[in-house]
Amino acid sequence: MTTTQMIDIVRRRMDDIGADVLTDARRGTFYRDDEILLCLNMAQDMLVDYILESQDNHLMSFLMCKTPIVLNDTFPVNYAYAAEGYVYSGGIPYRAEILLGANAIPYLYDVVWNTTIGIINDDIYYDGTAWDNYKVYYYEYPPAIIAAGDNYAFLDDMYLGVICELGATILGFKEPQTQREFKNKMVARANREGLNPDVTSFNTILEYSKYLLKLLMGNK
Amino acid sequence: MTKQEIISAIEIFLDEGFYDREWFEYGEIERAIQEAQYRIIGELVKKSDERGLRTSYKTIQTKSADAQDYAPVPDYVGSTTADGYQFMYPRGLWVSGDGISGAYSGMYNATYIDTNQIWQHDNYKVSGQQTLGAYYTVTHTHQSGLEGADIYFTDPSHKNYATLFYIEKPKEFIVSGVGSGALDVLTYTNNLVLPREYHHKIVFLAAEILNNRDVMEYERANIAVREMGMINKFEEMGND
Repeated sequence: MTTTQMIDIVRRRMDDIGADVLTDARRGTFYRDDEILLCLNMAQDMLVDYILESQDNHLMSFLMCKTPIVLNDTFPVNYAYAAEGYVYSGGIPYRAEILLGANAIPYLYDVVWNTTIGIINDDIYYDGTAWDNYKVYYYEYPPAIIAAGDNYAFLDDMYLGVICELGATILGFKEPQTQREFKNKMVARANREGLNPDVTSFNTILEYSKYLLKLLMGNK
Repeated sequence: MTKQEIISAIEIFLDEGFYDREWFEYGEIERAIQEAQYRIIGELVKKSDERGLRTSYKTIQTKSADAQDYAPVPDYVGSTTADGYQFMYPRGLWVSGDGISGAYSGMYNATYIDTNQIWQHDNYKVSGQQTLGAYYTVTHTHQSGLEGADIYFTDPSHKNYATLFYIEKPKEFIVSGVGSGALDVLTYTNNLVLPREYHHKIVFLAAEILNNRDVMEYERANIAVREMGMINKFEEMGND
């Protein structure tokens, strides 16, 4: 789906009518294209976060890398999360467990390091005395949605039904943003959910968008 | 998200969007970003969310003096380590004793314990030695009382070498330049420390922090209502 189409869909959803059918006088100007673009990108990142958190194999397949990281490779900038690991000895692969951050630290210099691969920041650790190579498959970030671009990291219905909808929701927080109205929303929500507005700290935009994302993804 | 996108996205949620910024100065936005980063990193550490923490890991090596039970986090001057990172949360430590198998070899993985428990080890140990460097703690002030961080070991009978893995404190997100929106000529220092899929959370939270700094009218009203014992009791009032 092209970015132009997506921006148009969001604009229509926000009743900020697109430029293609109407005269300048009726053209929506409240939301600028670059604002919509930013919100679409935030929506895409939310979807990526949701997919990685959900561990849903079907959804995660959209993010699977094309080429794995092997020994001496530069750590990829679009790395998002580890998927599969193998260590090699004389060309024979052994499936490796991948541990991240603090979970990997206890094994780093250990004699029981074995087939484990550790990823800490941009460094990959493995037992170099036992294995002569490794291969790490990973989930990668989809390309950013750019103006005048074509997007195909996800299916069109995901761009239409999730990213555009969510982008429009996030964008909707532009409108009532005086501080008073913002607080009013928080207090109203706290009251509705039986929380004390004074001691409840929540992130209205995030919670609201997450709630919607969950609905859009069929409450998975 | 790029640095400029971060600022622009926050400005969408403040007043009228990023081409009509009028209420919040960049200094305030920077502080809100910083606060949002602290909060989110704190939560990630609590939840041990290694996906989110990946980019915040740093390593540093240090050693204690002979027969000392602590080692300073090296070159910890003005709260910044030699390589320019600030220490925030310890996440793991490998330790080896000098003269046992040499510096940085024959290493033991040490378990983090709270500082008060280190004092318990210190006081209850029998004949000078308990466990071999298997526990450590980190304080946020130097032994000397100056600003800095020290690593304490349970076995002070020899020189300890340590490799500390820690979560860095995010460097301050600084915007400089004058003007408004697209006409700004802005320069940015330091990007967000978290991975890309967490950036929107920082943006939302920072915007919320700023929007919460209000003129307090809701709080005033809440206090008044609560003092009358009437909060959330409007339905009951109707039934009287």
